[in-house]
Amino acid sequence: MASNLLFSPFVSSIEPSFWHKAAQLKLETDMLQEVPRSVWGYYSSPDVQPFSLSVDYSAFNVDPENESNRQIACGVYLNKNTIESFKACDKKELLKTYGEELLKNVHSGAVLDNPSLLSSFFVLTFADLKKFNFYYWFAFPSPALPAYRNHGKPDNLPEILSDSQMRSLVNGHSVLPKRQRGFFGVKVNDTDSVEVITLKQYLDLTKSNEDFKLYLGFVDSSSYPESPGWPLRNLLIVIKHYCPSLLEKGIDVIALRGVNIHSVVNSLVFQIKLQESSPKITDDSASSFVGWEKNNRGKYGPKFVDLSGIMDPTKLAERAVSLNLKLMKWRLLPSLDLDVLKSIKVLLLGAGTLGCAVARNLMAWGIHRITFVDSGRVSYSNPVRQSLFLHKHCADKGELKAKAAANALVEIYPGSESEGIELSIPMPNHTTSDLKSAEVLDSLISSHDVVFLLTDSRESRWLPTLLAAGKRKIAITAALGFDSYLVLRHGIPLEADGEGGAKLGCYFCNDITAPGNSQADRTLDQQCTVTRPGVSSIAASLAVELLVSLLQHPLKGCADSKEDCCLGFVPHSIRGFLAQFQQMLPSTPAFSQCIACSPAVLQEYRKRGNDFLQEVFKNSKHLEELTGLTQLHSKTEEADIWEYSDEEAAGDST
Amino acid sequence: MDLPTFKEQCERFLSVSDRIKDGWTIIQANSLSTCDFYLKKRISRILNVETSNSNPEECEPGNEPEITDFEDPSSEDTSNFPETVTWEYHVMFSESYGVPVLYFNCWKNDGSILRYEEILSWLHSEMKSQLIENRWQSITQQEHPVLGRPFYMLHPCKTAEYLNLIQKESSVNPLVSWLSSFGGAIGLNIPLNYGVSPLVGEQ
Ligand SMILES: [Zn+2]
Repeated sequence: MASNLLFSPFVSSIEPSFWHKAAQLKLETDMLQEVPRSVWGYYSSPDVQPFSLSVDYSAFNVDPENESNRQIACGVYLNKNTIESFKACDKKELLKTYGEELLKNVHSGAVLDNPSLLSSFFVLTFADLKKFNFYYWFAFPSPALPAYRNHGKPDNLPEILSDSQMRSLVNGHSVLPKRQRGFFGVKVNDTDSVEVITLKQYLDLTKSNEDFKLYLGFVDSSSYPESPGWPLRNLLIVIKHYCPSLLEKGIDVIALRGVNIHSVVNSLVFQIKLQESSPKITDDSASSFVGWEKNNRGKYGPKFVDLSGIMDPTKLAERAVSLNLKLMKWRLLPSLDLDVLKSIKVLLLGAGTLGCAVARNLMAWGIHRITFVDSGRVSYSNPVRQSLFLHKHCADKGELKAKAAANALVEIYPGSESEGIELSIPMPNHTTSDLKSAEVLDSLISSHDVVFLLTDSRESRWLPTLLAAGKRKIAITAALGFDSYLVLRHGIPLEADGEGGAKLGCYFCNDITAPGNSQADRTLDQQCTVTRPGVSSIAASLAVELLVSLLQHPLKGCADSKEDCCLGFVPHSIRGFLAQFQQMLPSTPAFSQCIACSPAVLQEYRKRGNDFLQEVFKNSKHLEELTGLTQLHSKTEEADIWEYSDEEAAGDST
Repeated sequence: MDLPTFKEQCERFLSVSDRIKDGWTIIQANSLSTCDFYLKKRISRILNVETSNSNPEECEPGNEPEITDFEDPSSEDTSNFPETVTWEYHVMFSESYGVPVLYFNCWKNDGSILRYEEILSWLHSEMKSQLIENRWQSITQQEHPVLGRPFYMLHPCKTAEYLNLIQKESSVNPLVSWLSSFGGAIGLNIPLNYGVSPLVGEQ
């Protein structure tokens, strides 16, 4: 019973390393040239990967890789510079060009010296290296005709050859020259052994008059029981050219479907004849070609792959950073909530020593939405202490700190969403304070989830404290002395109406004087005082860790200082003394007459808004009258202790 | 474990692999770097889980009309043949941990690497989830030390502990014990042939 012989097409299989190499070639060597390149492909018997013709990084090498169980295929890589030229090039013409090349190699006898030319292919590509998207289309050119038929069902190899014959087949095949292994001949010597010969020897022997059984052989890529793989199609073209009579009579072909002694038994023996109804082709050049690969939808069309996940450096960094954090969750803290960190927006008031250090610690926790507010410029003393700045930022009066810091974050981590805003924070008793800046600050605090107060004066913390309290935002203060530090989270009232007041105090709750112009009272010496360098990074780290712990607590900013989260304790404040290397965790309640967070002040701001601020900017005594502090008035030392600066002059950020 | 011990265990492992045709090879680069010596194995598997990336709308650049006159009556329809995924395993040596480390990667025919979630769902469909959960907690994706491309890695933090436990059982190649214990979680099966002591194995 005869049936039409169908060939199982190759399925292209591209290793990631091929795309890496192709991208590198395009960027470093070819650039805008469209040069066809010779490439090596590999295929194997179906016990490895059925149907597949694969290319990897070694495709572009001068010599093919020497892996014993893979067969070599000779291909061409055609990269187009634009999607338009990829689309526009004539696909039929291309197939014809490489198909005719194949026929030329058959007719010239080149394929007899190098049979791997028979497994010819080409791949048309367009690489969009901005998006790391690749379009590609493989073709395995072959003449469309003639058509063949199977003479009955193919036999299993063990029905034809004895065990010892199969063993000698495997051994004989493995010692053929590398490029002769894809296509070969098998000559049966006796009942125990066969001789594996080259294609050329096979063709010669077909003309011999001696009496022996002869098989054509090829390494088959197909795993289908009745259809051989694509390599046979071009091999039969060789037979048609050199001994056409064999195809009229019927030719015995061993389809090697395993190249070791265990898998060789899966091989088949086909008996193939030309189809009688097949149109007789006498002139090869008139024949048309087939071989374009179908895409994933089963249509003749290009394939597409998005490799940004493994090639885009920004995505690689993103994944590495998030995996680092996930590892912490997987290995140590299963209940750690990383999503809350990813989504949070943080406002840093001050882009100095503290601001830089806080930003770096936030990034390490996967918090990437950071806005800096600062009015200063980077000066020559800054880069050694302020970790986001370099010497080059100091030139020409210095870059704006807020902008330079925001840019640095993107340079460190391209996934950062950072912004720098030049703004001086309006302060009580400072006549230069303007209402417009107050409005900007108000809307900045509204649009962020967390505010860090990292400026270097007590007055500059007043408005942000009030605004954060009014909007129930998490606010964390870090302040430095020469060898001491304070990190404090401002309490947030549990009830949203704000009338109940916070359980925990703000920065001003312990400090019952209204913020005056402390900078005016200071001697120059005090203003020039620097802190021990480690103090700011310790305080900044603690401030960020306090925020992270707080965010893990179900009550977030409203959490009590006695409570725990998965990371441990969430203290109200941390005070450290470097001279003693000591640290305390005092917790102080909110003060009902606080000049920054008490209900009276919040209400006044809500009612009178700018009028109220205008009054305070002129004279802070108004605050004391408002809260009834006038009679309480007593000077505390503490206010000054916490306000030392790193700046060479009275700058605006510590 | 030191590098010479690791290499010696790899050679022993390879001799068994060669005998039973298990497909492992030793990759040795010319460079002097220690990690340029590793065992490699490649397996192709049927992809039987849903993966992203094959958005049919995006398969074609723009709206190029499909070409229909390429039809070929002599070619078999292979569209029903399931897509395969190539898995590659590397057994390397970590100088800093002093233990072997498993790197692996798996990619589809278009060269895209399976995402973490996709690999997990494949593994879940194949084996006991308990084993996976324990081991997968220490899988990260990072640059391969030799190839410089993203690979998955089974973090070696637990390996030293494990090796100490099995060291007493000296007749078995420690590399084999470790591989069969840790490799299972990423679909790497170590046949029993490796488990026998070299003396018995040779007879
Ligand atoms: Zn207060």
